[in-house]
Amino acid sequence: MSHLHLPDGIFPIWVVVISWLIAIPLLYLACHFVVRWGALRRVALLGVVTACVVLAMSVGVGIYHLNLLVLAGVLLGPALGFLTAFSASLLLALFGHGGLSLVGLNSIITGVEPVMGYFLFHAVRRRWPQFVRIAAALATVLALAISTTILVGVFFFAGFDTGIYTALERHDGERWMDDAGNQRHGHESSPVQGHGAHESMHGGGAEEPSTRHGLLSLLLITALLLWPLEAAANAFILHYMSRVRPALIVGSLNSQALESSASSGRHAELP
Amino acid sequence: MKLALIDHFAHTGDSVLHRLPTGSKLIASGLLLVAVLSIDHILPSLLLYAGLLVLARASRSPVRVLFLTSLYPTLFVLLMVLGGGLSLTSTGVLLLSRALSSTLVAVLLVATTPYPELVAVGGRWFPPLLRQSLLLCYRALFLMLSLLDDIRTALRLRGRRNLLTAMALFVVRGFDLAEEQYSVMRLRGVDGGAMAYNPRQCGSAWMGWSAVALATLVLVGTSLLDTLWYGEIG
Repeated sequence: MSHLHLPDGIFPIWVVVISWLIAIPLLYLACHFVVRWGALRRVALLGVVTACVVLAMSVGVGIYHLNLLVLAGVLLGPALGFLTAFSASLLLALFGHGGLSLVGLNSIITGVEPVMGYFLFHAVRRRWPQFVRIAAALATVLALAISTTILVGVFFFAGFDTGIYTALERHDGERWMDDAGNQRHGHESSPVQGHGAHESMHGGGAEEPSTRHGLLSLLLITALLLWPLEAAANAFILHYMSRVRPALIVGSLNSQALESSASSGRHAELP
Repeated sequence: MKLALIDHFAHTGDSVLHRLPTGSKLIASGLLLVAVLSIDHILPSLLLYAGLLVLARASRSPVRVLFLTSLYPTLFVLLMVLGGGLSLTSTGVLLLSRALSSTLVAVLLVATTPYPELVAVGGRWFPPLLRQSLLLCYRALFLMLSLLDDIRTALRLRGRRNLLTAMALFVVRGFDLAEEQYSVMRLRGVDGGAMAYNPRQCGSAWMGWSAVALATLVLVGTSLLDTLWYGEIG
């Protein structure tokens, strides 16, 4: 649900720039941790998991589709999970699914899911190793809740301002308001023009809350309805894998954790 | 999405756009994207979209497929309209035309350039691991598409029972394929570094520079048109 899928030109340019400034160091950090944790062997798996995520995101039910990013986090670990989120976002954007300029933002928001999913899943599973389905469902719902909260936060703070509202509303002879809340009329010059101006969305503050709240409500309602679907799919797949190939899940831990789990026989009770 | 079909156009196409050097195409696409995003009025925006459709025609790829793929963002713009974030006025139309144009730029790029070349050239500044993972993902995508077809056939034959099991089986089988692929890579000496890729023969450098110059002209032209349009109505 948290995948934005928003096309280019919706968010102001400062959101795009800031998101890339955050995403690029995160990508380098993820690559660093992959090498440090000795997870290079799983890079081949990253390709497959990213392909699964891309295919899941390509086949939608209406406007919804599965993400499978929590699954990616559980199977690959947080660092490779984040790389999966980036690779999937980039690949999808190249094929018209989401804006190219928003790949950085999409990667941050969707990247939260594998990272949080990994930690939440293993936290629950360490305590109750037999409840794989519950651990997966819980991790999915919580990870989706966190990433959706970030998404809503981006919407709330950035809005959709691209500067065009001012120009068009001026053209239509409509009134708009400046930052201080003073009403101005059509032919005056705008305080903000072009990209990078977020203060004048929808012509100022008067209409802003209703439009934003309307969209955010729709987003949250959709999210609450669809999280269970994602949770059920992840729970089933991870439960199936824990029965058929438990090593795939255990192996998703980093090398140290893997060694400690092997020495303590923590997963010996898996069917 | 028609991933396989668009990839097929990229590999088999033989138009001028296909023969342009990949680096030039990336720069030209970036400039076109900036042009799309910097337009603030409907008429120049729609003109640019029409121009891009002409470019799609010139690429000798089926325009219908590219056009339909470029329509994808419409769903999300409509969602925003439903949510009250946008009105179906000039603003909504402008955002929609921007979205369509930017998507068409991306799809046109990927329909005229094989993905491995895009990664090899465009990913020079990426960490080697990330570049490798992007290439592996591309390779895995087609393995998985083939596997998905097999599973779909099996489901159809068995009466579409247990879709979730099929999904889980799909992931597990995909992991098996990845392990096999990894073993082959190790045997060939891959050690986690960047993978070599031999780009295909492209056109001459002047063609590339011409494309970049043309994209710059489009950027300047649309900006001027936008300013003139703004001047007229302002």
